Amino acid sequence: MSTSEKTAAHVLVETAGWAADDGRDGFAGAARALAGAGHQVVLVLVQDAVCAIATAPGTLGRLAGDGVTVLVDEFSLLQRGLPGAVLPAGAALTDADRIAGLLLTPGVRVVWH
Amino acid sequence: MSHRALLLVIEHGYRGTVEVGFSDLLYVCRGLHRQLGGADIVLRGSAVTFAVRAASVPPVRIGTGFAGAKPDPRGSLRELLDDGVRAWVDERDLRHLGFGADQVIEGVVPADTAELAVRWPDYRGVWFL
Amino acid sequence: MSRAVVPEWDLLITLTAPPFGSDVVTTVLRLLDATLRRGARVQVWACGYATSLTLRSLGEFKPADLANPRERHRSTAAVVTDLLGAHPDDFAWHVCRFCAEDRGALDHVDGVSTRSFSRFARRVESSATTVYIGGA
Repeated sequence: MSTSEKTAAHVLVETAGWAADDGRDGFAGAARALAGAGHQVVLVLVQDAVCAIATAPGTLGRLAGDGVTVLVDEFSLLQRGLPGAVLPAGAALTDADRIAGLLLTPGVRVVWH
Repeated sequence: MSHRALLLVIEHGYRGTVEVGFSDLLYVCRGLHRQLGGADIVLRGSAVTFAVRAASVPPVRIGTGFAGAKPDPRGSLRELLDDGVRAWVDERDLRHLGFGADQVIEGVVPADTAELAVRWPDYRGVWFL
Repeated sequence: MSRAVVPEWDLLITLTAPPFGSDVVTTVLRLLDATLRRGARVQVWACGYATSLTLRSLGEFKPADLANPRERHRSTAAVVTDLLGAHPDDFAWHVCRFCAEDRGALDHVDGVSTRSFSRFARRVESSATTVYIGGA
């Protein structure tokens, strides 16, 4: 793997809701696998996926501990009555401008689910 | 390392003879594979049903005639495989629907598709269709 | 020494998910607004029922709230028209002709082009980054 391939950020945008008992854990597995392989990974939760801060906080916290940057769209939280919700440790709020910046990063690889 | 352009992930199965007809997602994959320099495919969720051998389905008769073009996702999948496309199907989702590995179309590889994420950097794009 | 080809567009958003099934259209419009404000060159390829977003028949406004009839809200077609007008050189919206025809959705607002699916690859090749939003 070339240096540029290894350092290119992988931005995983998850929009679907995560059921607490789903077992498949949305993009978490993919994020973990990529981070474990040494890639820079940003997991962006938007739309229904922001509910994971309530349904899967442990998963998000572990991902952050594994080196994944976990970002939660504040606008999506507001729309779902979750503005004051406590984010799991290691997760941070984000907005459209910051997500735009990620999408426009040279060499970025974006996977949208 | 040679890179295929795309990894195409399909999670939804049959979506209607009347609505979708022949232009199901595997048909779309044929176009993307041709146009964009090659593609590999992952089938998950109800889309695993595209990877198992199945009997021919009769056309849909509505009123005095037939409605919709007959979908042929397995035909599209076989054509893609013949063209060198690699295809994986999620093992867990196959089992969940009661399918065994012996029912999978030859050439499609049962796998833990979540673990396939380590291959994502091999592709220019990973598209969930 | 060969020079790397600079893509004509910074970002291609391929939108196949239908409106109303989720808030994906709101998300995409938020991101379009944000990327264009950053000065990026962005194009959209709409497939499936996303082809309906720019129909001329949508008019300028969404249906009014009868409880509050004076307050009018722009249709998606009007929002896209506005963005096209504000960023004439940096923003483009293309509609997949096959999907549009399959849905009787071929009459679009000025500035929106309908394109054969055979032209989709050109959109991808001309963009530095492609974001594919599935769900059709």
